[in-house]
Amino acid sequence: MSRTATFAKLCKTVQEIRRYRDYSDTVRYLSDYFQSLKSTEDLDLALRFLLEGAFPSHSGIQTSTSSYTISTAAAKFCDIDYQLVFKPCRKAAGDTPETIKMLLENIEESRKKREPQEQTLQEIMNLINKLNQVNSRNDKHQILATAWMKMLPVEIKYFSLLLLKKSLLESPDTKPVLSAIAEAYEIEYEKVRFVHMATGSVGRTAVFAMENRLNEAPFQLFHPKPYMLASHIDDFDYKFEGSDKYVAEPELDGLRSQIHIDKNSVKIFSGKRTDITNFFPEVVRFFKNKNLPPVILDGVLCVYQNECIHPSELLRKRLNHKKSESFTADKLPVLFISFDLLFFDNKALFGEELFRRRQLLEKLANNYKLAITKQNVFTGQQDLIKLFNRSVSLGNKGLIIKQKNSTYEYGERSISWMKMKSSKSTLNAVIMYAHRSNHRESVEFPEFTAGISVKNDQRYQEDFIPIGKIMNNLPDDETEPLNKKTNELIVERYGPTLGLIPGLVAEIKYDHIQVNNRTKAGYKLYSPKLCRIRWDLSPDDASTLSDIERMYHEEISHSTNITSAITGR
Amino acid sequence: MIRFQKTSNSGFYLPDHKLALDCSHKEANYFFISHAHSDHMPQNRKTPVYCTRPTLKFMQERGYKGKADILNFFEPLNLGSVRVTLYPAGHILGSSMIFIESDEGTLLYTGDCKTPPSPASEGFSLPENINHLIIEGTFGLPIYRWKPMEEISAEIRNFTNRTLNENCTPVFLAYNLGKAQEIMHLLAPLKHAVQIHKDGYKLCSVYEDEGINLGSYEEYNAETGAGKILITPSTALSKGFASEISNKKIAYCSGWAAVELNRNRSSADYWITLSDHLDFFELINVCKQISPEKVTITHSPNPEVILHYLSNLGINAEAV
Repeated sequence: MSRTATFAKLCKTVQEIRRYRDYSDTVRYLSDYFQSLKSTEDLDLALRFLLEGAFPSHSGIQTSTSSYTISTAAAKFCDIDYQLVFKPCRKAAGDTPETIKMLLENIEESRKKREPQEQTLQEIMNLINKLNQVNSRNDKHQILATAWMKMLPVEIKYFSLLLLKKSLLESPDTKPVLSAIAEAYEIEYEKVRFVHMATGSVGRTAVFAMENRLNEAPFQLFHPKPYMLASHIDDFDYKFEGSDKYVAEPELDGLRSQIHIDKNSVKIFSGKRTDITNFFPEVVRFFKNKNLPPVILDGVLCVYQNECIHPSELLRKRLNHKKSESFTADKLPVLFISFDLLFFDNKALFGEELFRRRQLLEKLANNYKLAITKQNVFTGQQDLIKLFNRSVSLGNKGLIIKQKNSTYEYGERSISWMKMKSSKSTLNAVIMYAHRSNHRESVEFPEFTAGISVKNDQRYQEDFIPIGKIMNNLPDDETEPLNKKTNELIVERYGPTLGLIPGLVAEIKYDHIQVNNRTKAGYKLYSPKLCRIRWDLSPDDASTLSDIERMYHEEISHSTNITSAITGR
Repeated sequence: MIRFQKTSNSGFYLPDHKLALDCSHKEANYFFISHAHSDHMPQNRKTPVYCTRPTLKFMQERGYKGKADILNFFEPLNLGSVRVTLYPAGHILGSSMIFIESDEGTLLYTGDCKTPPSPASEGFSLPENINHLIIEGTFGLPIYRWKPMEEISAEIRNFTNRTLNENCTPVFLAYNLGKAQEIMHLLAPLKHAVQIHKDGYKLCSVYEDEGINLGSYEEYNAETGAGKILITPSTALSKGFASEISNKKIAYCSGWAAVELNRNRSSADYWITLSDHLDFFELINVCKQISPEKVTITHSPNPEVILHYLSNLGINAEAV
């Protein structure tokens, strides 16, 4: 193994990235580092450390050294009192690895003990394995102390981070890492991105790039693929040039998901690409019984009963239950409705045009009796609006208008798919807090906390309680008087958060209401938007918690007849 | 020992001698101000005070209307039962430690201090025979150890050069009094034009009057600021300072920048650990060097840690 792949070099690279936090600097630092690596093993391990941690995330193996063990080892190493000195330091520094780094840099006793020697990434991995093999805290202390003697403080910081089941890069965003791989090996970024999507592994992508074998990278099922997202159309007058080039699909009230199927294996991934298979055993059973060929389906999981779709809020409740089986299929039956096919006949379909993917999906749905969304054509703007109104009147969230010849632009919010959606409801809320931003070139108050009235509510002693934060996206001419009034109403300051005397009422549009036990109201508005300030209203006119409760119960008792929205079953 | 009371606005009052240190005690006859930061200035703008010449000038620029007696460093002032002498504190220009000698013993109140001193100050110097030391412990944890000033100075200049080479405008976030001028002084050898926030600008002439080179500087002008070195407090940035300048890189300069957690809360591009206070190790060293009968720690979020270290050194200490 090459000595160029030292852990110290990786740690210094990460430290510089964290210091500058600039995209192009991050790419440059990583690219330089990747270029310095000579073996594929080092490259793979470095990328694992950077993005996943000590062990591959899918391996199920975890480090077994606790924060307490590392902290007490550090206190011993520095010859300081854990309770009296280490703990206050950690409170000020915010986390254990950073505290250890700072103490080991500063305290003379620890400096004397250390004689840094360059260690390879594999040697660091061996140390982590060694720590995993011992159980007693004393043994772990012994291993840590011996290891730290050979390390720089920055290495000890990132070594501790790995032991604490974290990755070295703060952000899980793979974009700068993929850009760095492209830059290091002089390969087109899109090629690197595709291989990453196909293999589901940055490490493997980098190794293929290093060996100049990207074309040989296999497409892996059971690694969630980045979703193609639709852009929003705020203006219903948006003109679709040549409406024959588009199709419209209903936007169903469900959970965006991806299902990977191969033989008897089925996995379901959420919109955030986490594995949610265990929460939906009846969906897994359904697909296993179908005996489908290897496929990846993109679609939505919907609560489905008596030919109707029920609000997805009910589905979210299921995800919050640790024991998924407690929600039996009888109580809350779930149906997966596909709208796209990403893998079929041992071939990735991302580069195929939508109409072709749709042909294959329809064929598959027909052969295996799968539910898929209905596609509608429209002849012009008026026709589209009619279609939209009909879809909404049937209880759907809106329409997704898709270009027939568009490829599946994974990981992108593309204009090839447009979302036509109406905010369903509005309420009048009191502005309770204004939030200043320390970001440059920002408006004075980019966010506000909106509140609802509980004046006549026996459950609360206060007059108003928060219902959520709203972005200030008002035009300049409306923002100016709002800022002026906000400044007049400030009574308390909590850092960047300013408490206001109730005096401003805002009209807020939102998509729907969610139960949320972390808010004082017990509810949260989904996708709230500040429409305007109601200068004509006083805080006495604000919506009440009872209004919210009533609206929530109306929402969840609402259902959508899906006969017009899906086909193929 | 001289008796003292901590006052509500973080100053001290010596009741037996009716002396107020960094506060406006109603029973006091004499008021001493260690330096011109707002948390140390008298609350009543007309209170007659004793202070150094730069401190008075800064206070006047910041709205002080009272009558002040200027004291030079090392020159004792007899006030009946006590003798008071100011020693340079190294915190900002004009900052002083107040040394009180009386029949009950001696007391040194450091105010805010720094050693090694800020290069834009009169230095740091301790009196001898201190019985009671009242010292600030703002950075009272061993995670705080400042780099040597040469390294910090190089870091500031490197950031500036690198940013200018990228055709960007460097913006330093620093307090208007003290830190801003310290940065200007460290950048003066670059001979690159500096523009400073208006509130900091009006304080710069005091530095120049005291012979501290701040290089070539002017008040911030939105139309001509691009490409210059800009200096502003962070609060002004959120109110639109330099918002017209599109290509800029922002460096946050503070002792708190030592902690990564604080950096993550800031929107700056770069963080420079530049403090005008003692770090933990300097604080312990000063106490050890003086070895007084008693140490009182003030302005510290973590006094227990300092007390633990001083106790290990056999120094009698308390926190207020």
